[in-house]
Amino acid sequence: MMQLNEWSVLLLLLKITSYFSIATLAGTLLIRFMSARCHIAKPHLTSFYQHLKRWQIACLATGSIAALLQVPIETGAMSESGLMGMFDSFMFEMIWESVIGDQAVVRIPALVVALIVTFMWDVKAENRLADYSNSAVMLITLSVVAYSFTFTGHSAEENGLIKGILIFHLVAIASWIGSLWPLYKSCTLLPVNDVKRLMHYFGQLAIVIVFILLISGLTLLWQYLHSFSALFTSSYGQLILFKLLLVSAMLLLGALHKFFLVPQITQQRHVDKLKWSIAVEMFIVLFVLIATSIFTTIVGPTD
Amino acid sequence: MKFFNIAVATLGLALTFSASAHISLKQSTPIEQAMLMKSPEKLALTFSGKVRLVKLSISDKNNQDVNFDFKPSSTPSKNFNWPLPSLDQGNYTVKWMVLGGDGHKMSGKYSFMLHEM
Repeated sequence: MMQLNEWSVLLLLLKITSYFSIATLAGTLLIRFMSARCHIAKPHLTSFYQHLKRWQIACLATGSIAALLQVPIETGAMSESGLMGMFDSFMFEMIWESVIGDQAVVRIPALVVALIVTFMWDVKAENRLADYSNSAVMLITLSVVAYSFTFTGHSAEENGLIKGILIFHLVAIASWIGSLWPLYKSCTLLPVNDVKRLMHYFGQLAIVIVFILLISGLTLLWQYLHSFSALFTSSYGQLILFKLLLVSAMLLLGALHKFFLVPQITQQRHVDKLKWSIAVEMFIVLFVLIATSIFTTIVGPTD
Repeated sequence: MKFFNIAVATLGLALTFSASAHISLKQSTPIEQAMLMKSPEKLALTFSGKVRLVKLSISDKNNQDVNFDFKPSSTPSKNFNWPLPSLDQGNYTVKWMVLGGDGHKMSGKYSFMLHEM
């Protein structure tokens, strides 16, 4: 197990921020795709998009700063000589030449391009070609950011196929959790009927997302899990079980939305109930992200 | 609901974004908890994967470092070894810190004992 100290806590925060960045990229893209097909009246759609744009700029700017800080903070963690350790030139060079540097080289430009493209997103645009082009560039940056996650962590030395599966897995879960904040805000910014249509559409797409997660996740499990008993006996296994509990709660809430809350929507008070339920799901997501960050930063399967 | 029950059970297990073993020290000379009758001629470390060895020290029971020819290297390797000077009897602790090929920092320590010759 990696040592737990102030540097590892900082690295955990950077990891969580990076998960937020990719979730925002994937989630906003998915919501844009769905909203454009839900026949939402232009003024409401514009106001909703304006919020999404501000949210995405905030998350991507934070993500870009976190990506820029990754190499110096890894250097400080390695040097173990206080804050000045971040400027240890030998350690910096060593980190820069490692997979951490490779990851930064790929991730930082992708996040910066995504940020610029988000600034350029004209939320009032009537021109569909411009909107498609903007979304296409965003999709490319999303793929590159997802690819950057395969450089480090336990998957770093796996083959291309496993990395590919991991990218699908990551994009699928990012789309799901990244959609929650926009869906939460849609409850306030959109009329009741539009919320219902958007949630219904999301419920349909969620089945595809869960299917991708199942296939990719089972493949990864088959690849990595050495024994079933390790789930109960190792600290890594126990963290997986903890995460299983949280993800189960997320799926149950998703089922509650799809089968009960969304079909009931006819008035604002029903939307408020749904909004509260999404808020609970977002709270659980936060714990899932923290648990995942601990998996990939501090604890390994051998622990 | 059956689909969701299956999904709930499997998804949590499946949400391992990535999961293979962290780097560890596989072999060492002297070995851990060794009780030696003569001073070891070398210190050799073998890791489970390629690493960049960042820090390495051998200290006696008074926490005094032994001087030997260690310099951190930015070239990744699995095997490392260094000749050691003649050591006095006593307990010694080897401490290492590496940067793994997966970008993780790992550290560890082990002890050995040199008996009276």
